[in-house]
Amino acid sequence: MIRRSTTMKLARDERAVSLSVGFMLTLTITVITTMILISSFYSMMDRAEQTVMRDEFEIHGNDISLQISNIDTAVQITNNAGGRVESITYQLTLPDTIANKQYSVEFSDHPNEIIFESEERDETRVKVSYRTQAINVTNTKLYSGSSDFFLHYNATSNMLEIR
Amino acid sequence: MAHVKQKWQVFDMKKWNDSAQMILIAGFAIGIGIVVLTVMLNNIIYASNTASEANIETNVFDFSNTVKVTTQAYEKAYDNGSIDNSYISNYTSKMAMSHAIAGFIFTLDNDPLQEPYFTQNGLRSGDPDWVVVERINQTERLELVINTSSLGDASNCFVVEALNQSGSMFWSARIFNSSGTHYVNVTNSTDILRTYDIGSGSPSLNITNNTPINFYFDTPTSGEQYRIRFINGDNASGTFTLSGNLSNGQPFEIRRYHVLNTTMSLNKNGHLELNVTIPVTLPRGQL
Repeated sequence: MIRRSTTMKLARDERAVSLSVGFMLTLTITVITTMILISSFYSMMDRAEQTVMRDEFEIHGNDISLQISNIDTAVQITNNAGGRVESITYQLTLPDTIANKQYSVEFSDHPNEIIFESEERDETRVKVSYRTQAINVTNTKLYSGSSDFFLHYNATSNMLEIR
Repeated sequence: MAHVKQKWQVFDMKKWNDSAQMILIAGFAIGIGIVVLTVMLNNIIYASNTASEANIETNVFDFSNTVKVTTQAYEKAYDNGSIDNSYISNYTSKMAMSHAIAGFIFTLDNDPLQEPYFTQNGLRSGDPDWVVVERINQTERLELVINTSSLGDASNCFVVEALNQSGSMFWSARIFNSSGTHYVNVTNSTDILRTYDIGSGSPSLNITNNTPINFYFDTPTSGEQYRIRFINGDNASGTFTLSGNLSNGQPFEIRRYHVLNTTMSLNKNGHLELNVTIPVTLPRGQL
């Protein structure tokens, strides 16, 4: 009977919440909200980093693919003119890191693809295809860190070597 | 009445208090919105700025033009069996200047003139079986001067043949070395029309002028649209002249007296090095 009357009393109590309880509630809610916000921002930034990385990989992949096609066309032009290519060397300028991460570039001849990858994660993998008519490309895997990569056409083996 | 007015005033104040909460919440939402937008915008700017590093060094069209122009320069520099070196050196310096604008270092070098083979590019290593001219309406002059020392035997004989539009041979001259004697066999599609000992050294065979023998070339080719093909061109060296009219009425002329190897080099700041050797048949070796 006493308990019931206390409950009724609380229910019918229309006074404001005490200042200290209000402060504690507000503080807790603020801390939780801030934590959720910060963690969501972190994951968003992480995803944005991978997006930038893939964009960069695609750009460099297309650049390399274009250079391979150009070398292939130069070889075809020379062959059509009845001549022979002594050597073609193109210095490939790739940054050491992309989005602060090191990466690898794999040249695959079957299928004809340039595969960029960072930290062996699927989210960062980008495949760019290339096409050649007169020459073949050797299977190679490069690792970023050295800025001196070369596309070298070996006229004896008719292969484009990457080193 | 005064009591009623006072009650309304209290109600208005309470309503005003509720609106303040809404303004606070709205302000907070706008604040978060601005933060999110700023982060997203920042990412977009970051991505679009870092993604503009790619560059293109090779221009194959320039290279193709350079090959063509250099071939023409040698054709112009060829005069009476020799190359005008001052013309080529002038051409090289002009080309070096025009390439310098695009950041290229252009160098050009050539070997001495050689006797050409009857291959496509004039060198022994060139394509031995090739069509010299297609869609001929009339041949005015077809003359070969053969160096008999380079002739192959009957199984690898050098063949000049005329083919009709469907690809069937209807006339041929087969030139070969048989135990030190050099022969030409003139044939139609089925039979040998004439066998003749052309002698040694550098005999001239003027097929359209029927010298030194009747080559039976004019009758089967008249009124026909045909092409002339060389087979086993790597088994014979010498010079040739071929001129006439194409089926579209355009005249054509090929004269091949010499071949020389030119070596071109294009270098761009060490990023791109391109070295090619291109044989040029002179004075006017290709159509």
